[in-house]
Amino acid sequence: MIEAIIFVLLAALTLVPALLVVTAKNVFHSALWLVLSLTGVAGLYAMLAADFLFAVQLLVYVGGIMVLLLFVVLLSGKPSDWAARQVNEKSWAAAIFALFLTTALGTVIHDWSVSAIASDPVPTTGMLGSLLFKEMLLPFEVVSLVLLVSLIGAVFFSVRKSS
Amino acid sequence: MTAQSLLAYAYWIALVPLAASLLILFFRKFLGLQGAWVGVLAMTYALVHASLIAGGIFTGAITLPGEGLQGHFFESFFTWFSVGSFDFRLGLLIDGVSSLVMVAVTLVSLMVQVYSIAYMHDHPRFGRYFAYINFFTFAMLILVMANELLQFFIGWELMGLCSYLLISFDFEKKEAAAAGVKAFLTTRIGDLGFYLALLVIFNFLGTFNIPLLHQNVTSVPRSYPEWVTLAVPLLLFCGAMGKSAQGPLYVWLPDAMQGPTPASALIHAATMVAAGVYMVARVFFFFEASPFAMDVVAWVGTATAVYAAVLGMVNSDIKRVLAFSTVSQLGLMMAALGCGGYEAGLFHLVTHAAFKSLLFLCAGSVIHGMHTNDMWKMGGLRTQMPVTAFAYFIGTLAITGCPGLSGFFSKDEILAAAYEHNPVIFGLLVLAALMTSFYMFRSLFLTFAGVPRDRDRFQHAHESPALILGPLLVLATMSAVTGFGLWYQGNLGHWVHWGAPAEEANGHNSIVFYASVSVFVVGAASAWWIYLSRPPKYAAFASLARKNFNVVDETLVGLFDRVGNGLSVLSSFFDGRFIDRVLVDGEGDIANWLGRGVRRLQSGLAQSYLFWMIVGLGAMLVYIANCFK
Amino acid sequence: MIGLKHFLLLSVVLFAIGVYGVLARRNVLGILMSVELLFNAVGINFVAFNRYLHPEAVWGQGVALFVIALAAAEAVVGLALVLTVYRETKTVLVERLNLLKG
Repeated sequence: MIEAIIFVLLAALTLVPALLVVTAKNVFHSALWLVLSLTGVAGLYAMLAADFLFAVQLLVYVGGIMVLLLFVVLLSGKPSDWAARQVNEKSWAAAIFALFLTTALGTVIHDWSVSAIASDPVPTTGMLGSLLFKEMLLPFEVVSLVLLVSLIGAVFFSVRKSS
Repeated sequence: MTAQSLLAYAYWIALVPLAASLLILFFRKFLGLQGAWVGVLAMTYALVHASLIAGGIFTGAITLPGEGLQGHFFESFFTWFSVGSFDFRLGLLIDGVSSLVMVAVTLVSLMVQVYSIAYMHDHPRFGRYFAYINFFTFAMLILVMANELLQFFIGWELMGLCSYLLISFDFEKKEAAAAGVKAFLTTRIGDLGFYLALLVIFNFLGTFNIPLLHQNVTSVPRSYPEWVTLAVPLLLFCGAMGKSAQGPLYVWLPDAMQGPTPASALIHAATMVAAGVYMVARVFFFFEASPFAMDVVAWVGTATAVYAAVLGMVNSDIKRVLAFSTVSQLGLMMAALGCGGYEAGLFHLVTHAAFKSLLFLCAGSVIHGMHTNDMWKMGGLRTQMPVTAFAYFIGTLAITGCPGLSGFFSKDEILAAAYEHNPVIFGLLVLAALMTSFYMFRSLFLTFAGVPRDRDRFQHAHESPALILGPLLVLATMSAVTGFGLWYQGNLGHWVHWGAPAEEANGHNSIVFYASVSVFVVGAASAWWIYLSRPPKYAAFASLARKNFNVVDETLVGLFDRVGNGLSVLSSFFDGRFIDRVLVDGEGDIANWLGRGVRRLQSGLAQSYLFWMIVGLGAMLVYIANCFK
Repeated sequence: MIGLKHFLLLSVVLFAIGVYGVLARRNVLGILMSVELLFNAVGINFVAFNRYLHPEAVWGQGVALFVIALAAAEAVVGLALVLTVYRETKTVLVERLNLLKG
């Protein structure tokens, strides 16, 4: 019972700001709503007994990526762009498609009969650690390379050509 | 050399000239002027062989299988191809008619070739000329001895080709080339009718075999619908009109005088133009089955005879006068056939071959000496060219029906047949005979009698060499005696008729006799009076008639002009609007349109690319998810 | 009570919202934000499957971790690009960036 209420609250915390992200007229408001939505997602991770992930989501996603996004939003806005319409002419087609996608996939999920039992939550940090360094070692190293490359790439793009 | 082998190998009569033609054609550079003798030799053989057959048949030495009058030698010996159940076979049909015509054809061809050795000796395309003449004779012969209508048609069409080649032989002259085309096209129109007739015949009667067709048509009850009885002879007559220059399709014959004169003698006297008449005679049973068709033939023939005679009276070109005369005489033959005078028509065909070719060859001799066709520049040539003058005189007597010569007998027969059938036609034919007499004597007097009108030309004129005079004399003899030979042998009908039993000899029908003799005299006398008894000048009615009577020619030309223009406007419209705009430009437009449409996808906007990608991806997802259900 | 289906449905809805945002927003940053939503939806999906189907292992969570790491990398590069493009063209509206128009 409690579970259900918590789930609904967390779902609302995730989905409602998500909707506002994509419909807000002001892009800065969009970014702020996104922060809220990502926090909701973190809560959902917690509900799914992924404690480490819950922490990482808040630290990295909300604390890192969103801050970055907010900076760029503030750095790159002309007042005229801010007042302009935020949604293009394909919006209705996109909305219809999104609805279609929801119904289609929703139907599939609904028809899919799998009885899933939720077991007791266990701390996952240790398990994740061993996973990362044993079975998922290769992806782990690759991801670190990707991060390095993206760092270099970002620096490269930001350097102004001295002319 | 038995009778049987003469008949069985009769196809050599046609093949030898063909071989000669090909030999001359391919070796003409090597043979040079001697090539002509190859042709002469070939034609001599053909003449001898044909004469032996004809003589045998007429004297009874050769008996043809079959009952009496319908006796014929029929043989199909070569299957060219088969389509389904139909075999196209080539073969022979020898009877009195075909043997007689073969003799006429080979004789005239031989005379023309001998004549041409001298006449054409300085022509650069001498060899080709002889090749054409021999090929033409070959075509005519396979037509004459055809036992199936398809073979007949082959000869028919080949003659059309040769006629074109010979008429436009001096193709450097624009008029000659044009005349050749005109001849070909005009006869083509007739050939269309002939072709349709062949289609109808094959569809409803199932065969092209002439004796079989005869059986089919004469057996009652008929196994085919009624309208076929009417359609076939009329369509066949269309072909005959084209080839024999009847009705509105006569217009090619006067223009065909552009060709070398001996060629005209062959084509337009004895052979090609006679093919139409021969055709009507050969399949006469078709015509007999439809009285209406017979009437059409008779009336068209009569009308043509009269019309052409009028035109012959007013022309000053000697060859054109003879051309119109040919048209008129052919009209007489058709009229005879239409009135039921089967023997009369055929008789006249044979005598006409003799005297018309004689007349043409004489005219050639004159033209050769005087270097002009215009009779008004001639006159008094009997002193300079006595042999030619004499021969022409004989020819004139023959054609105008001077009693005793061949033409008299044959024309008499025709008039008799007309008299029996329809007095109006008889009257008109008598009128035509009168005009014939008039214009022939006119041409005789203007050319050979009286005072020379062009002194210079007159001085230079000289008699032609022996190779030219020889044939003239031979033909003159034939023109004189053929009548006796064929008529007194007891009515030609005994040997040539194929159909109902031969009619009794009419003997001398007095009215006809007196009519024909009197028009002969009156015509000659009036010509003498106008052109010889006083200094001749253009008679008043001549120019008048000349103006009004070329109306057929001019109408046809105008018609073709207008139709041609209309068709070209139509086709240019079609070409421009439809082909150019819709098809050609249309392709470009479609490519453009498609391109522009597709181009809109290349917006350069990543978001729209993404849109389509995600839509595609979504569709894939749904599909995959459904597969797992 | 709350089963796998609920979480899956939630992730589908979040994903659909993200798709709508990607397709319909004019601002390039708006699009990037919608992409973040997509990533998160996917993360929820993986973790939910992990929890309900294989509770003894943590593979799903490992993948979700990688998704976060990659999202970070992508955000870095993407934002750097946005700033560069903004410097040149002085706009953040996607439809103005049509230099590849055919």
